[in-house]
Amino acid sequence: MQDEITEDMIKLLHIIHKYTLQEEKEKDPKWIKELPLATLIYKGIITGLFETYDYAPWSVQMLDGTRQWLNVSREAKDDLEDLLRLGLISILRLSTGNYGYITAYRVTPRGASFLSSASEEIKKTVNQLLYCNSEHLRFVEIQNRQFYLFCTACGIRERVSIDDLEDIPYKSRSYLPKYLGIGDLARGEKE
Amino acid sequence: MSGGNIRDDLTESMILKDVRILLSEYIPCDRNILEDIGNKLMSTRHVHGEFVTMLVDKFPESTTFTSESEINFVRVIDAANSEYIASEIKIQDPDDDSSIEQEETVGMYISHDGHVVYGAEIFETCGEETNINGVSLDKISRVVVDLIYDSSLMMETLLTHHQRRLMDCIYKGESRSRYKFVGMLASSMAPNFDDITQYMDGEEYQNELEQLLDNLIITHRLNDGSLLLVGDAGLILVSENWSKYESLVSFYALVRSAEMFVDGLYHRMSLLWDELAQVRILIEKTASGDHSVITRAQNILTEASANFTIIQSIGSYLKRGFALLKEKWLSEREGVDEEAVSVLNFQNTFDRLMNRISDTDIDLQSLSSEVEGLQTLLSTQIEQQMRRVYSALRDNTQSTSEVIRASERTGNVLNVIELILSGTIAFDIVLAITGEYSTDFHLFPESNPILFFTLAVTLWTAIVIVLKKGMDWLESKVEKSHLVRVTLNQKCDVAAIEEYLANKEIISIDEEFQDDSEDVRVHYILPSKGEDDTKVTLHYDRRNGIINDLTIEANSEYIGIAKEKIIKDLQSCFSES
Repeated sequence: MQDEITEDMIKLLHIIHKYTLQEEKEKDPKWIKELPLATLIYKGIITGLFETYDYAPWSVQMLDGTRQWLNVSREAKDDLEDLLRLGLISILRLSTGNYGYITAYRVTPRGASFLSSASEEIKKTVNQLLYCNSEHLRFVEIQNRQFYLFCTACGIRERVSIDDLEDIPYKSRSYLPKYLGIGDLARGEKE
Repeated sequence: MSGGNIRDDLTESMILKDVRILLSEYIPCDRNILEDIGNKLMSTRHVHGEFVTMLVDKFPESTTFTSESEINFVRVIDAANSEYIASEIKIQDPDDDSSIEQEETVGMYISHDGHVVYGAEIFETCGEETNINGVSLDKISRVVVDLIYDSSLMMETLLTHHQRRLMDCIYKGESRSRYKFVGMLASSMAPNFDDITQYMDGEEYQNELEQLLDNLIITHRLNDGSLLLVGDAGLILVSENWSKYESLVSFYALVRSAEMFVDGLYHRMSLLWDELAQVRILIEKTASGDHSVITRAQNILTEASANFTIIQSIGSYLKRGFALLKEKWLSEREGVDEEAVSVLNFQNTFDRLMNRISDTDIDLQSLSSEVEGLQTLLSTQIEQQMRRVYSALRDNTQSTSEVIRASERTGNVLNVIELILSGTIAFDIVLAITGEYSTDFHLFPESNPILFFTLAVTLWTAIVIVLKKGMDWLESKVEKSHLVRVTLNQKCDVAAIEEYLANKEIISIDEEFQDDSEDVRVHYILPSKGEDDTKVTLHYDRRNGIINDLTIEANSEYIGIAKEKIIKDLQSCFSES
């Protein structure tokens, strides 16, 4: 198993663990939802925490059932599936009041045990993303279709640009399939 | 040329050459709608090239019109008798980064059956020609997103108001962010694996493909060597002879996009069930005596009924559209590669969609019954409430009539007492004149009592007549108050209204809080020079900023002047919109 786990997977596992860690008195399991997790992953990519991930715009179903284009990492999604396959995380599917479905993640006891032997250096790097200066865990807040990292202790809110889609320069010319019988669009003539 | 504003290093492990993007979607449409769109684009002209905007001219009588700085350009290529419109569009998204050079020219075809096709040949990315150097999947995924979003923006400028309502209902006001199934045609792809399972390596290549296609479900090498890669959100067909697959890719993309549309419809119907359930709860509350929620129930039911009508209309469009599209597909199918049809499982996918559309009838019928049932239930509750109000009003009217009758009786008794009293006075006067005093003067001889009695009665009658005439004269002199009610229903600035009222002598304020309004009735006195004071009641909605009406009570001579003065004062509080 050790060979299959990359450094980025350990970082991902550590993020999930930090948000689903429970105090002893708490009995019911805690889960981290996919949209906040995707936000943390994106923040991790643009700050250089995740070395092998990139992202691309993706149409994501929001909490109110509408869709929004967000920068989502396919590599991270693949790693989550690998962590699931290795039994280090569990996945929960739940429905929302708006008839949507969301996925949530938590670390299994096996995953927690694996993490306890993971490099402290890696965990420390990840914690720099998750904690604010006051050493409190920052939570993801979604307000008016915008994403923030928010520290409940010191009240600092940092916007995450996961919804800022990137543009590349390109040129396109019009094209329509021939079966429509429209002809050459460039000349504006029907066949 | 810059490489765009990408904040991360891209992997770029897969390169496509000679790329064409085909986006297909379903939009509710019919021949009349298409005729309307054709009119907007002046499709019957011989020379074309119009800018189009979705802005509406609110002042058609004015000389000029100010549009947005970035306007979409449309050139109609072909249009046929409300059947279809084909055009070339140049898209200008005002939100795009102006420092990044984009020339987005797209072909657009819209048919009366609701089939919309957008096609673009990507010939240059980041300054490199795609048919020579190729373009990476990382980059093309960003181009695709740009096209999906901008084509929705463009379509919004062309759609009729009715279509926009239908789309907003399905996509909850976010129709610009709707997804369209991506069909991509390319002449070659690198790496070109003989063993196609290598594309599903679970790592680098699969991740690259899934970035565009979502979960990869089919990788297939067709007999002619073409490569077919299909995911949940798009497909890539790589072939030297890609044009022979155009119709299949276009129809497949349409069917898959329409599946998302039907998902949206089903989702909207589920939400409508929730709205109706809420109405039912409120009606039950009303039935158990809480009448304060009846307005809320009415409002929600009115909105739900409107949404139901829209959903019903969408269902009808879908059924009509796909019945026509099925015929179209059957005629197009000849000549389409059978192997590709079979690999895509296209016939089953199409049939599944048709069945889903047909099944929406079940929900629509149930919704229709529920809406009708709730309307009846609510009407019953309202009627019951009205009956209670009428009953209370009848009781009040009865008791008021009894009070009036009682006071009439009391008045008659008083009149009699008045007359008796006046008679007593008359007798006193007569006695005073005729002999209570022991004087020597006697108007009539003491031996004539009949004359004495006649004189007393005559005097009594005369006094009664004089008193009655005097009271009538006094009553005619009393000024009568008049009441005028002026309905304004005018948008106003609430702060200005409250500032206006601050200087008035307020008698009382009634406030009534409802779900969607805050009704305030302010009763105040307006002093007048040398006249009786004018009583005014101003009724306004504090939450929505509306002056509803005005009631003025003043004497008949002054009321006209008072009305003009009050309305003039209030005009300063009206808001312009």
